[in-house]
Amino acid sequence: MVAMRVLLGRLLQLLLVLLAVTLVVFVLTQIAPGDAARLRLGPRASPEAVSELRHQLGLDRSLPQQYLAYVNRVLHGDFGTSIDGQRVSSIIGQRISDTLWLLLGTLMLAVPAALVLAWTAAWFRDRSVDHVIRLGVLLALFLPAFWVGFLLIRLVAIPTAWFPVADLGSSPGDLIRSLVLPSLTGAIILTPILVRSLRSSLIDVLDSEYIAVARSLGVGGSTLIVRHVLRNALGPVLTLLALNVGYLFFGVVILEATFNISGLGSALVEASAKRDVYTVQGITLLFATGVVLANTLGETAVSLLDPRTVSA
Amino acid sequence: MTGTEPVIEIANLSIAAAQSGVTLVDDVSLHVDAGECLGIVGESGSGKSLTLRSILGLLPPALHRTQGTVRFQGEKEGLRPVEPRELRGHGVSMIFQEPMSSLNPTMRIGDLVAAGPRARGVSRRAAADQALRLLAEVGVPHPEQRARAWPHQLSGGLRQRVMIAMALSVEPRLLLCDEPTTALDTTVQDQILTLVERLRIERGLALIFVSHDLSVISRIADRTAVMYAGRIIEHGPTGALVDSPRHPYTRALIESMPQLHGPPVRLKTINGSPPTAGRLPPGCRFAPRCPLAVDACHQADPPLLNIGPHRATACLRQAEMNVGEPV
Amino acid sequence: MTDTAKIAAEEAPPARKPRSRRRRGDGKVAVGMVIVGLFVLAAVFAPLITSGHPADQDLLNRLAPPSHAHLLGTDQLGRDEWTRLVYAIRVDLRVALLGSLIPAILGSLIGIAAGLGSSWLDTAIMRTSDIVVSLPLFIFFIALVGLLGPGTGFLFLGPGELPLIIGFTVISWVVYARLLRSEVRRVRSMDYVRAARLGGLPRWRVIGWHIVPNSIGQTVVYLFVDVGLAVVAISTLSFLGVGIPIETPEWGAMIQSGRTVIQTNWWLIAAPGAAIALIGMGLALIGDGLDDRIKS
Repeated sequence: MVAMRVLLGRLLQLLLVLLAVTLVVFVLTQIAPGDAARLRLGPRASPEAVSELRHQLGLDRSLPQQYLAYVNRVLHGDFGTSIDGQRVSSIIGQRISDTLWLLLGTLMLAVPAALVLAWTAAWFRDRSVDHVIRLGVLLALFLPAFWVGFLLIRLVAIPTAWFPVADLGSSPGDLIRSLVLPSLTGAIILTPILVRSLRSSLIDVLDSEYIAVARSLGVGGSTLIVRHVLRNALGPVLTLLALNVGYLFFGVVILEATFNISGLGSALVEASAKRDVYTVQGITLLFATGVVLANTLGETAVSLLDPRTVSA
Repeated sequence: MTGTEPVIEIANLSIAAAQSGVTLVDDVSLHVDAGECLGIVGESGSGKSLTLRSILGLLPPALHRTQGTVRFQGEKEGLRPVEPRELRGHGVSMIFQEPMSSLNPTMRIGDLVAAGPRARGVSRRAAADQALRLLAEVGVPHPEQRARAWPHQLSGGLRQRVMIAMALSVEPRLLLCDEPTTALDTTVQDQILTLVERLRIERGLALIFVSHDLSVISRIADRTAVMYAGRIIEHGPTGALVDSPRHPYTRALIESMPQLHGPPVRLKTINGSPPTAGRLPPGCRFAPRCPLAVDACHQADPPLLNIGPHRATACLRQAEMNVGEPV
Repeated sequence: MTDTAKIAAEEAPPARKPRSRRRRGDGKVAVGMVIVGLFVLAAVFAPLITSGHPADQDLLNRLAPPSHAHLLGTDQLGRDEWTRLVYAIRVDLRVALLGSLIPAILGSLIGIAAGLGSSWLDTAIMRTSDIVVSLPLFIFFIALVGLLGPGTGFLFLGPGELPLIIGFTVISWVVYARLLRSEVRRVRSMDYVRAARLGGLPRWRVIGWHIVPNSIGQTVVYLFVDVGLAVVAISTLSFLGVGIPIETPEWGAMIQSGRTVIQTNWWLIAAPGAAIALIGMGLALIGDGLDDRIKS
């Protein structure tokens, strides 16, 4: 019952936030100078043709009307067409899988690495291991992702020829091989961000009286770590991941540009360089929706995992 | 003393902060006989909780034991030196002060009470059955129902009963009580004390009971040790100690205790505040606040000396206190 | 004494500090100062330690390896890499400093307003900051600046620099606002501040005396780290082709133009990246060292 109420509340909130996101994205792309119709037809097109296309695209209507039309189109899955005449939805369809693979690869390396480092630092708190991890993690924040990627390409991919560096492979083996270096790069960038707050969440749990109680009863080893510590740290971990999804998406854009992967990120960069308003709009909206969804999912999971909300 | 062998014997225990090296517990020795209750009384910061926690190796990470040995009498073998870890879940368990924070919020009551036996390899089923019996034994109404509840759904008094059931679940011979009643209302406090007294008799438990409240200690403890600034400064049978204290600090504690019986008197308070560890006075730690202090008290810290059967005090002026002149 | 942490806090007094020993964090601050100091000196005296202008081309001498004349060789247009690397400090540090100082000041003021103002103002500011934190702002930034284009320079700023500074301001005021807000709330509830107000001191004097000195330390710590992160962000965005134009001597842009010759002239990529990491780490060491000092 309570779980249902929590879910319904979140869903309503989600819808409101998504509406706000469409508004932000719409305004964002309206600020751009130049006329979408003129951009499409080129400088030599006749004024009649331009105004004809403006009418077709609905650009001659008032901004609120355009916004409503935009929301209506988006709700019907229509993101418009790109400058090259491709449907934006089909561009997204072609490109999204590579982006998702990169996200998955990065998370699969970064989250365990962050957990291990944070655990070690928390367990040996204020000893030299902890100091080394904390300083290392702080300094790693300043490694530019694209530079790390190029170093890996130059030092690993080129000499060994094991890892393809353009586009993701299609067969499972090729896919994994081509994911290794980008995911590693992503993990090197994401892990330091996670370790700091993870360490303090773990310390909070380790210091809590109920852990002392469990140890006093002889509970130890993996039961103590999994059932008592990690179970209570799960909430903070999920919250932390949800909070960093926006940053993670930015990271994937960098990875795609560095390793020549044609996912959504490189599509966004290419489109914005070409002033391709509809494509930019579509991809930005998708990323923003992803962030909002991840946040909502994270919050919902955290509250459902906490007995205090579920059985109030 | 009474001829029986002690259950536990702690010798020369010292605890210090790892980084600064400041000593927080200084050369504490104590023992508890089978079925006996030792009370430790002192203000917060006197080192009484640390002494208790160090028995099970539950000191905060910034602190560590610098010296001292613990000997424990197992069920079969005699008194032998032990590591704190060996005692966890085997012979010794502990009741903590704060029933709000000492129960894992993500575990059901039944699982909490079963956690200790499960760690010893008891089957899930047997541990669950035992948990129900224990919950009933400590006076939790409707154990089957409560076993499925979460900690946050229980009142403070019930949670402390669950805590006690958890401590009993590993069948200890020695129960450590770290101010188990301090966080509770007075009436609940009384119920919990009654429960502990009952279990002690029924199960023949030895107890170490730590409290800042001398009235609680004098109710439950056979013998009492008084701690001040990291040291035991007086020690003796509880009745004798309360009737004729042989250390000015003990006397001050007694005089600041509200009397339930007898004519109302104005409560005395102790002037000044206890010294900060690391900035101890050169002589007796209590000397700066002591009304009986003489020059010699400021020279050297007096050792804890026996002054009669089962009595010891660390006061140079204890002979003067015998006369019983008002402080 | 509810938990072990409190016991530790209660029973363990702050460590005695022997007077002869250096304070914690001094080493980090010193190393950081040396690194950052070298970068600043190089930026100021750029003409003295380089030869010619960063845009000077020598088309007959393209992609030359490092030599006495060209410490880091030349790029595809025969421009001296060392000269560009040094002049890039000016661009990156200028944008990073402004892009951190402006949000720091603005965010601090907003935080003080939230802490002192009425509850609805506080709620409004905090909700806004929640939204700002949860949106993918760098993605929005790519979209917006990409569509707008870098624009022309502004006052002493080069093309593309103003949008970056505005973008950083929108993104990073939140940290400072939250820090100052909680500090104001904490200080406000303290007895001596109440006493001072009851004693007739005007509100701004109380803020000046207590809140600002108490919170300036943490703000400065954040600021050092923030400038370093801004350098990384600037170079990343110009690597992506957003913000500073590619012909500018700027580390990220230099890496982007060097990527095609990664196999042969790898130093064209290695050197600017090392510069980014090094100055960022130097700034972080200063910040972290100061943090150690505040906490000990």
